[in-house]
Amino acid sequence: MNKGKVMNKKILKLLYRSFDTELSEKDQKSLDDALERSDELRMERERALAQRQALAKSGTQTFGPFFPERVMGRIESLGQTKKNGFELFYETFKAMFQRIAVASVAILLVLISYNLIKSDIIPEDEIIFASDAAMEEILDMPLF
Amino acid sequence: MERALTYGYDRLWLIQETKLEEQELIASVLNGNNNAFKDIVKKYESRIAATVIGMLGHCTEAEDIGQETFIRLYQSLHKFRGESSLATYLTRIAINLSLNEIRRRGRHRRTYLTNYEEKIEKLADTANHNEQKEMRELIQRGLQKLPAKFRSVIVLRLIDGYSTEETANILNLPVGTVLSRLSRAQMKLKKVLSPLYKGKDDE
Repeated sequence: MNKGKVMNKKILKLLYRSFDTELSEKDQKSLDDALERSDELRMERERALAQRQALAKSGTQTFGPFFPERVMGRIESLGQTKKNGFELFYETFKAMFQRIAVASVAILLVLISYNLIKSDIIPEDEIIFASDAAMEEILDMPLF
Repeated sequence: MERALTYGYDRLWLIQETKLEEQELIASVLNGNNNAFKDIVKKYESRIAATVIGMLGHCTEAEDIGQETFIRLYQSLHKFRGESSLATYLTRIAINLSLNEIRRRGRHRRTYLTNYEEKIEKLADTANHNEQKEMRELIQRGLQKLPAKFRSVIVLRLIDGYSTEETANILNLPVGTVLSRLSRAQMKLKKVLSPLYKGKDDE
């Protein structure tokens, strides 16, 4: 009894498998034999095929009218949000950068001047136009 | 033999034609033509709807997942290498998003299906009147009763019409696992849909 049930289950599995793959020669033969012997199995095959057909038919679906338009609307709004986000970042960055840039340039100029003075590349006297050169020397200098 | 060969060539030609068309559409979208993307949505809406509605049933989340599927494609289009077809790529996104949604629903789903048996009996009674619509609804509800791993193989193989190999590829499973899940899923679905068959047998 039990053995019969196990056999049925095995044959049933083979039957369902046969719809989606090619069975081995041996399996195909045992399925064919079982189908020839059993009315119940033949009925089961018809039922399974009907079920598969019904499933295939249930596949023609739609998300409703104007679905592509709704998708495109969402894509456009996504782009807008992204652009707004980027623009906002750019504006903030620009405003911050302007202040930082002006302050940095000022600090940089002070530092460069200080370093030049301290390193004696440009003597203090020259900066305040208090050179040691006499007026005659200056006047004797060739123009070009 | 000759007919089979002709069929094979025809199919090959059709696949190549579709791929070419897909590549053109993708290139056009990447060049900033959003109308080309709208064409992609139009072309694959029905397939993705079948997948998502098959997985989630008719519900508000189904359309959200459908939209999300196409948006994800739009965002990752520059990464699409064309190794699989656009339909397969989209289906993979749709299946993954649907499985996430099923996981998210968790317990809520069980309460949603509490009165399922009662409803299915009622639907079986009315199957004669509006058979097609009712049948579709019945199948949808039946599918929702299956665990997600069985539902996904049924949806891909039997509703979307992918081959066993393609189904295995989309789900990232061995073909043997897909075949075994398909057999078990069909047996489970038969049990779920049995009130309908009972009604038909009584006629």
